[in-house]
Amino acid sequence: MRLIVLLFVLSLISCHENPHSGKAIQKEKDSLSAAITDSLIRNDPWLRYTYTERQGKELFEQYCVVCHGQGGEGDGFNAYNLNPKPHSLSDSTYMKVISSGTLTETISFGGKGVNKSVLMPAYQKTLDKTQISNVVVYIETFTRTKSNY
Amino acid sequence: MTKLRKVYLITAIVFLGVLAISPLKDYFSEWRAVQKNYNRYIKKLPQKVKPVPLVLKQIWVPKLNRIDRCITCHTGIDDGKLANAPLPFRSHSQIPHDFATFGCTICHKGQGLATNFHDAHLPSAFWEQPVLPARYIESSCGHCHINENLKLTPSLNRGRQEISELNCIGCHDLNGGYKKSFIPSLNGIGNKVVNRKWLTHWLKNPREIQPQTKMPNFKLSGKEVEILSDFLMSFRSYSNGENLDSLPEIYVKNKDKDDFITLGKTRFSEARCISCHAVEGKGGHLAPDLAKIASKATAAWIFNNIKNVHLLQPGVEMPQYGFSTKEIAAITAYMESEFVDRDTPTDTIAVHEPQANFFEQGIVLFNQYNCGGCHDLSSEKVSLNRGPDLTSIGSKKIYQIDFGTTDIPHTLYDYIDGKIRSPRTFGETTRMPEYQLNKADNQAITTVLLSWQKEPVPMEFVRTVPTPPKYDPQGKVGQIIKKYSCLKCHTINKTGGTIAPDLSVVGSQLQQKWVENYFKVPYSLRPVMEERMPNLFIAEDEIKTLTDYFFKFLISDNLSIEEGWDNSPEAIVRGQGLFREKYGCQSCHIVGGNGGYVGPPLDKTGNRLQPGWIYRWLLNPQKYKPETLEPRAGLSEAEAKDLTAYLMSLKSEK
Repeated sequence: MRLIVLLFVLSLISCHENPHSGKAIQKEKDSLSAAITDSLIRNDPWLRYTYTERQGKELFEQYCVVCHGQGGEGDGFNAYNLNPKPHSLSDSTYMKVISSGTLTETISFGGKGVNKSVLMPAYQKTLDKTQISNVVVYIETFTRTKSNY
Repeated sequence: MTKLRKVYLITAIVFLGVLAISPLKDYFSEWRAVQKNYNRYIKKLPQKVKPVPLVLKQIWVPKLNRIDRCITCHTGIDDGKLANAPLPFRSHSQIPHDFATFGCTICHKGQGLATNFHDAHLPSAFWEQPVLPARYIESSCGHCHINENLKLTPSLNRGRQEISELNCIGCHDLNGGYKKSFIPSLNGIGNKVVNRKWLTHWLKNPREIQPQTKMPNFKLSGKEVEILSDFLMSFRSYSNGENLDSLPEIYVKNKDKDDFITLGKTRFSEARCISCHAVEGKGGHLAPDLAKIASKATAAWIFNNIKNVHLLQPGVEMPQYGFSTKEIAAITAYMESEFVDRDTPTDTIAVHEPQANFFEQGIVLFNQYNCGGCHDLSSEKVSLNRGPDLTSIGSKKIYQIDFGTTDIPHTLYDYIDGKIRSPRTFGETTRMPEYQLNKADNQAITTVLLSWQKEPVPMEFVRTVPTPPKYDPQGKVGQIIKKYSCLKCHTINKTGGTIAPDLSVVGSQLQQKWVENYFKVPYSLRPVMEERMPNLFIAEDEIKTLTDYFFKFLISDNLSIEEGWDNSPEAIVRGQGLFREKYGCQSCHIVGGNGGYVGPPLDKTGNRLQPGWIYRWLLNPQKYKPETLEPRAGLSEAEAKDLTAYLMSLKSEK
């Protein structure tokens, strides 16, 4: 009987052994969690763009920047050979009246498809629908004032 | 009696209370709150979204041994209407895999079975793998797509290229079939380097002398640098035991004469050396900057290197130019007069007394830092002393990692990233040098390393690309192609570089006469490209051999217009209309002095291309060159024929 009581007391002690260091470990763990959460969610430059926007960015940089420029400002190296020159895609007053549908149509059927300059080619046969919609989503980030994150 | 009843009552209440803990805990669980929150959130949306029942949900993937409960909280994962919703309700971006077959944690990591935020996302005493940050997510693609470079994984592809270029295979065992890249041999370095001071300077910090170099900084101490310099300077002969040819008399006689130096300068610019080499940062970046080369290498070495580069540096990518001895001597004289480091004090070229035992101490250092992993050195005492095996680094356990004095979070990805960035902060015994990479490259290499796991995914998921048989032409043609390093820039039958156009079917694309002239006077067809075709000064008979080979063997039967085409003036006018008014080709191509610079100018196309090739290309450019910027215009066959007629009519007057 004594032995059982002793064992019980011992097990209680072992459960609560050295509460001081337990707290320290917990604190360390919390700061680690905070650091990781930080790198997971907040401090990740990748999260400036969603996955879809990144796909669009990749395509925009391959096909469009030669004329439309890195930031969509219509200042690509080939832009000065064009008449009319490409309009800035980061001009928010201009872009306000252009719907995603119009952008999709312009990319798919070219300038000619929306009664604009023939110098903008049609990409309907080069890119598939998802790719075109990704590019549209990316173009719309030029005039986005605040990120979602 | 009543006392017993009281005890009974109290016990019963306590018992009920204890029993209620579990359902209450379940009722107030975190995930249930998230789901309720979700159902409240979707009511505010303009579109109609179905509310979720308040139950625990999971995806079970027996083949991959995964049970993932992530969708319990990530409720809107497959609803496109929630693309802009806050986390965790947001829909997953479009990817080529569906969630039911793959689950979540196979890519995102974390603890799939957990039902609260902390356990699912963060490491704990029982689970050390947190959710993978978005910047490394492509590493998970690499688990199955082992050597496949996908369009959707730019970071992974970039990392693989960096690993190959930095020659990590020199010290580490790697996955993915990397081969050692060209690195200069150290045999004969004692005869190459002008001044021992240059070598000590270089060994201290190579990037300070040559910012583009792949050689990392080994952080050697001053004493180590001195010993290694003495050691290396003692290697004066080449691998085959030969020495450098001495400079010819024509060099010694004329090296200071202005017209001789001018000849060298002319040949230097005609051969377009700066297409690969930079001079003070201006020019290509495929080969070392030449701005101070004369203060590094001796005139005899420069002369011998241009004369027979493949003998002096086996495996080097530089072409063997067809210069005469006089021309080589003139180029050497030009480089000796121009490419000098004006800051080098001339009086330092004093006789240097090597330290005692420099050889014994030098070989120890050479082996300690595994210099032989990258550089060749003919000495029996060289032994390899490789670094850790990295083939399963992505499965390394946290307890196996020595974080040293760093204060980075204890996760595998932060460790790998930190180790590549500043390796010497992880304990004093580490020998790994510092590469001074930019952030994106560091991240890309970390991504690749994370993809190499101990336990492979089941075979049915693995995707590998078979390596195509290597194109290795034999005989005289093979010798010429090797001599001029054609495959450094051009690809033939899936072997070679991607800098310049693929030549696999060049005999059906170009006209033989044009190719022959182009070898003699190459000009830039694509102004956008930084690298230009150099003038290799190929001998007449070699041009004949090569073009005969091109037009007999590098051809395709599928690049013709079977039913013929019409080159009448009417067709040409129709083609011109299509070119200017319907398809706006002038936005990228120059014809008659105006147009864009994206594609090659098309004046004189009729002298350059074959009609069948133009026709096939116009119908579907991506079929022949997937990465081309030229969009597939969707021409009808008749339109393509009219355009071909127009383009073939663009000829030079002669």
